[in-house]
Parts: sequence; C-alpha cells; structure tokens
Amino acid sequence: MSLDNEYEGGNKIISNLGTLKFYGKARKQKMSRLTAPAIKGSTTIKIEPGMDLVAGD
Amino acid sequence: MKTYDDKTGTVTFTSALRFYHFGAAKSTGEIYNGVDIRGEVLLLSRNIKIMGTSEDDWGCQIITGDATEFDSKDKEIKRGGQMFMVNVEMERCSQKDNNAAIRFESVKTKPSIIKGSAFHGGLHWGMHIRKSDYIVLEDNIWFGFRPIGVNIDYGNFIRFSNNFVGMIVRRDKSSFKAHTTRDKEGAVIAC
Repeated sequence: MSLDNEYEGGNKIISNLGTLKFYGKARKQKMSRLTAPAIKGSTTIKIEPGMDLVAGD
Repeated sequence: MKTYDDKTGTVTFTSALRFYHFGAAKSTGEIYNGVDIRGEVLLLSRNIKIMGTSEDDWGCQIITGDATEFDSKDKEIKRGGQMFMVNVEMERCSQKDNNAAIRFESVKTKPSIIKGSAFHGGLHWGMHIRKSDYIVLEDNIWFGFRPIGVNIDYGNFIRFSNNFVGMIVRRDKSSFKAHTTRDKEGAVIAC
C-alpha cells in the first residue's frame, strides 16, 4: 500500500485518515520490582505487592 | 501467569523462567546513587489486543496521517487523521527492517492520545512520529523492539510522560543490508 510519494504503508496495516478510537479496561498498577532473586528454571517470583495481576495475564 | 497473591507478592507461572533476574527486599538506591537495579515486572496484558501474525516478519502496524484528496469535480477534500488508543495491548507488532508498530505521518491538524497501553514483542521500531504535532504519549509500556523504541522525528507539541521503554536491542544485521551506516539505535530518539 502506498499512501503518497513521500511514504508508504506496507502491508498488514490499519491505515487511518479519519478518527480511530480504542478504549480498553484500565489496569491499575502495571509495574513492580522483584523483592527476591528470580531463579532460572523456577516457576515462582516474589514482587512488591499492589500490582493489578489476574490469572491468565 | 497462573496465580498471584497480593498479600505476599508471590506470582506463579505455568512455564519456567528462562533467565536469572536480580531482586532484593529493599531498593538499591542508597548504594547506587539513587538507581534501583532490582528487576522490573511489567503488566503487558490488556483486554483489547491487536496481534501480529507469526507466519512471516510483517507483524502489524497502525498508521495515522493527514491526506488531501480531490473528488470528481476536482474539489479539494482535506482529511485529518487522529487516534485515541487507551488501555490497549499490541503484540508482535511493527515490521522487520521496515515500519514501526505505531506511525504518525504528517499529522498536523488534530490531536491524538496513546495512554495506558502496552506494546511488546516488536520486529522493528515501537513508534515513529514523523512531521506530526499534538500527540500525547502517557503511561505506556514499549518493550522489546529493535533498534529504536520511540522515534520522534520532526514533531511539535509532543508530550511524552511516564512511559516505560525497555529491552531495545540491536537488529539482526545479517538481514539488513541497506542503510546500515545510518542505522540509529536508542530507546527514545527525538529530532
């Protein structure tokens, strides 16, 4: 896809020349820190509490 | 992720960790001039997901632009692009050695907002703002792009606040023959 002579779109593209809106569900705390080393091969980590995590994330 | 206990901060996963990451009970700021080097844990999931395919290296991209068109009577029609992207996840986005995941091209007339969103697993740049104005980038995560996270290229009135940009790595040079002498690298680049 070519939009004009100055730049091209490429493929697998959503090309927006109007107004495009996406509004998802807000997630509260999105970042934390490790409170203990995370060990290679382990399936558990420890982080500072308060993060907005649910199973499946 | 399998389970999370908010009281203890314990997170369990369905698959094993592939690498070691440093962690400690307290911030390392006191011993490293205010820098906390403990591993960061980021939430990348959102309920609106835009996913690139894995069948090739074309991933996916969203481009917003202004345009001028002419109707059948040669009357000029001006279109002003704008985007509001709030709390969205975009994975395996951008296109290898070509296009950023999010692009603003010559957007001069209307404001846009990208907020609370997570962009990860990219094949190229995370964002490219080119000759565009009035864009707010706030509280987003840009994780896993190459070799630039966010590129603001001739932009005015761009607000970039409280964004996390990380895991920006070099591209695979063997697959990128042209322009290698001008290949810039960096988490956030502004011109």
